[in-house]
Amino acid sequence: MSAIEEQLRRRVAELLNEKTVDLFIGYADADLPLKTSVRVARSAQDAEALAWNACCTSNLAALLPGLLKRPAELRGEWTPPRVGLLAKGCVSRSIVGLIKAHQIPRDALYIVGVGCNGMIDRHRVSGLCGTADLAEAEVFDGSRLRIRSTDGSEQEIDLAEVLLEGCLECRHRNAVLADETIGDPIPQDNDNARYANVEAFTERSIDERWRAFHEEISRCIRCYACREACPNCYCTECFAQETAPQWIGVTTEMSDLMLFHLGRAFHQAGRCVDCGACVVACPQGIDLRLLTQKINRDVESLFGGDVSVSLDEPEPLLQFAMTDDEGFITEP
Amino acid sequence: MDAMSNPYMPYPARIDRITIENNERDLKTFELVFVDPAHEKLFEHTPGQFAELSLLGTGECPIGIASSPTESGSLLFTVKKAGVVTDELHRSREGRVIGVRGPLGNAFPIERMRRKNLVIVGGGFAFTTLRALIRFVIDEGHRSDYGDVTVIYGARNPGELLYKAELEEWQSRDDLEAHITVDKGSESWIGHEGFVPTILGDVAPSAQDAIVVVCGPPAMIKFTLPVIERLGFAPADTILSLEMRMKCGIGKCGRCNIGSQYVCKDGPVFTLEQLSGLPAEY
Amino acid sequence: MNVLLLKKTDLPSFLETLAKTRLLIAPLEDRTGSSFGPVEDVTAVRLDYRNTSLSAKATVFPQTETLLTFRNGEGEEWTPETPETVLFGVRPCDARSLTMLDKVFRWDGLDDPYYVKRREKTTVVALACNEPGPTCFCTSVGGSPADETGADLLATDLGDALLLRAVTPRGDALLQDAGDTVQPADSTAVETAKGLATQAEARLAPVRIPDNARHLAELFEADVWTDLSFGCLGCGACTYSCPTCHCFDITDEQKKGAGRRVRSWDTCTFPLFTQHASGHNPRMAKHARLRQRILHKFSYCPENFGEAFCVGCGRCVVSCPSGLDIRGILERLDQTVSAAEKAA
Repeated sequence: MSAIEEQLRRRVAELLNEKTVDLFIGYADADLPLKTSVRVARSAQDAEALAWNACCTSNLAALLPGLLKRPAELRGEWTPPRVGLLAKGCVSRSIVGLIKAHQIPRDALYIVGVGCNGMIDRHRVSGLCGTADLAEAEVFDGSRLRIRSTDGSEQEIDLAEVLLEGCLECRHRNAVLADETIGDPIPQDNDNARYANVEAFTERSIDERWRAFHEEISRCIRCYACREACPNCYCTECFAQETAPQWIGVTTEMSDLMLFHLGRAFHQAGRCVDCGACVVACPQGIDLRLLTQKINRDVESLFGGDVSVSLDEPEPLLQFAMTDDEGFITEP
Repeated sequence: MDAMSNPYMPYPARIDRITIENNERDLKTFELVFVDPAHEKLFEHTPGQFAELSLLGTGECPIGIASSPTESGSLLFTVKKAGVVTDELHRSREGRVIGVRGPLGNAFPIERMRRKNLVIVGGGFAFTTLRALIRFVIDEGHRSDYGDVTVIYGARNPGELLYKAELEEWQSRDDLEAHITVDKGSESWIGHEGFVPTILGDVAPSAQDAIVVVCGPPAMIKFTLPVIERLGFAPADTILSLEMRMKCGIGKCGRCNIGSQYVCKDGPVFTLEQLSGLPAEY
Repeated sequence: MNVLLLKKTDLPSFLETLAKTRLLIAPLEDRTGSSFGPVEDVTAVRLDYRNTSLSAKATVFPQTETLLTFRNGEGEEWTPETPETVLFGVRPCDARSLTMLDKVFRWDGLDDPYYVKRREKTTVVALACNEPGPTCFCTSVGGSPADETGADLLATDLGDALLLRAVTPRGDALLQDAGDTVQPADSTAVETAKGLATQAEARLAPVRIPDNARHLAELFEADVWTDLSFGCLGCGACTYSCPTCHCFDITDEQKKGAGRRVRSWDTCTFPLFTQHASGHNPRMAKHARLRQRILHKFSYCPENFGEAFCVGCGRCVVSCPSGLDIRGILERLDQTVSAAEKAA
């Protein structure tokens, strides 16, 4: 157990005992290497299981709308529980986005912010094992990773080689909104170059892009793990499953897959904080950032700045300014 | 492989007649005639069963069969406009050929009901399969198999009652005791006025050698069951028909289960005794 | 039945011969590790994997399948040519899962013709496990690393050769195609294979499964489901990677009066799964959906089909984005059942 984990467990136990929160959402180590599970703590004893490491990839904010909305079948009085959660930078930004979209009330939350050095991409590490599985993994010397696969082979690599791409480009390593923080703030390099993958992709010919997109998306099995893992997908009826009217088919044929993924990517405009939860959640290892980063780049170039950083600033697509680019009308 | 051995293939049937059952015009009875007479012979159903009505391009909906097998030549389905498929059905005209898949589900236990007195309690548009049962029981060929038949049927107001002409005819028969009630009457209404559970309590049919069949909206069922219990009917002699979201209708798509029982295959008819052994998830 | 030995060096030509008259489906390396797919290059077939990311059920139960087509109100059954197929290199858990799918799709003598047609044309060559995968627990649910259930032919990797044991006449017939690349297996090879199976079994950590279907169903109202389902996202990753999950949706598609009725995989974990047209939804709540998934597999299926619909492959553990672990869930339920029994 690391020092910060000890601090976390102690603090959560205090918050629960003092009844500052009714429950606390965090992470716990799972049985598989480099995997954590979402963990709820309701007592000091539960808090003992909480973990904080480079495998905490879930965006916990995705669970908030479900917890903080009145249950459909309930009759009579209901007040939302006081929910505490551990928020790294991107998670706190998702919370800001959800508050501004009126999906969750600020006063029902107790946010414990924590600085994040980036999360490991399990898919990437598994990819290093080929057809074998990952048997063991260990971070050592702070920035190195030792892995052993089920076929016996071992490798040592720089952590930076297997972090989520979004983490490498992160400009918000510390929580942007928090009631308190644990651990020391992470020095923030705000000039991280971004959108390299988008630039490289748009330089390819349209045929090459179509082929690459097809290859990536055709693996999709419409499990909606990407959608459910994303805090921004809080719609009670998703366009992809609407039946009256039916917007798109439910099959895994390319036409339906294309519409689902392109549609969802566009719905992320002005919301995506590039937390990578969708990429990690996808059981088929699809690089969803191919689409979302293009959208994010366009939003940044059209409206400037990063979304969901401040509660006080309006979100770019939730407001209209006379200075907004109207090129799409005048030069479609 | 021909369509008849593929349980997913609907039999084509022509809408011969559409009857609008209520003032709001969201309840219609469709009289369907099989395009291929051979299919009619294959479609031998028992009261209580349902069929999936198929509108190619829109989808299917599971609807109880409102006609008795003794009414040969056509099938009756009374459909409430509720979702995408029933909406499309309601917009259909006489002459349109749609599809019918079935008969599906189990049926009212008509064998067990022989030589018993029958109490048939229905509310609202859930009365449809009860019509099939009543027509079956009072049919000339069967009437002597069954004891006294008491029918209690109610709707919100007189306009909402189904099969109005038949209800009148039933009330004048002497081989059947029919009590028709409405929650709220009108100037011209001369029948009972009161909720179905109340009227049932007033009529108080004997539970001796009797089986009671109840079909209605959840609220009505909730208040009717205690009355049935008070009258002395055993849970094994209390018959209900349930509804569930369905797709395949043949116990394969996994959608319509209550516990281990599939409403499309092990139901929709269940006794109260069976239901009390199942999780309350419906 | 024959027990033969095929040198690994002769495997490509054996597969090549099979592929001449059959559609060959086998594990191929891809971005997820390995997945089953149609084989174009026999040298690309991989046998060095623990298990594929998705099960092999799509071979007999495709994710998207046309049931009928229609034009101007007239429907026609969809009957594509189904080729003779060899499903090569499935693990015994996946082979066994096919026998469970058989029970649903042939229930009460009512056959699902689309499933049955593919199933009857598929020969299953299972590959015994010499090493369990990180999430495997087949022995806890009635299976084993060298189980023959569902296989027509069981292969064991002996290193430089495959031991091929015919389990059914169909499997035996497949061996005819091997011609003289196979020779009768000697007792050493057979013993080695047995030893590998025993070793693999010994490496499997047991999982306590509440095996009393009735008690499990009695847990329906227990509070335990809320916390067990806390992190569940209500996605379909577990269901779609599972070999025995079989729920499906039926939808119609049309354009200008012509179209099709298609079935596609669906999952009880989606909120919309049980939503009535009236808006009523008996399983809107997340805990109700997780409860349904678990009880369906470990209580309702034992009641209806005589066995739990789980082969212990652990793919759901790997694929769950929130880290839900069915092994932990089952153990917690077993504890709850035991506690309730003691209290009673």
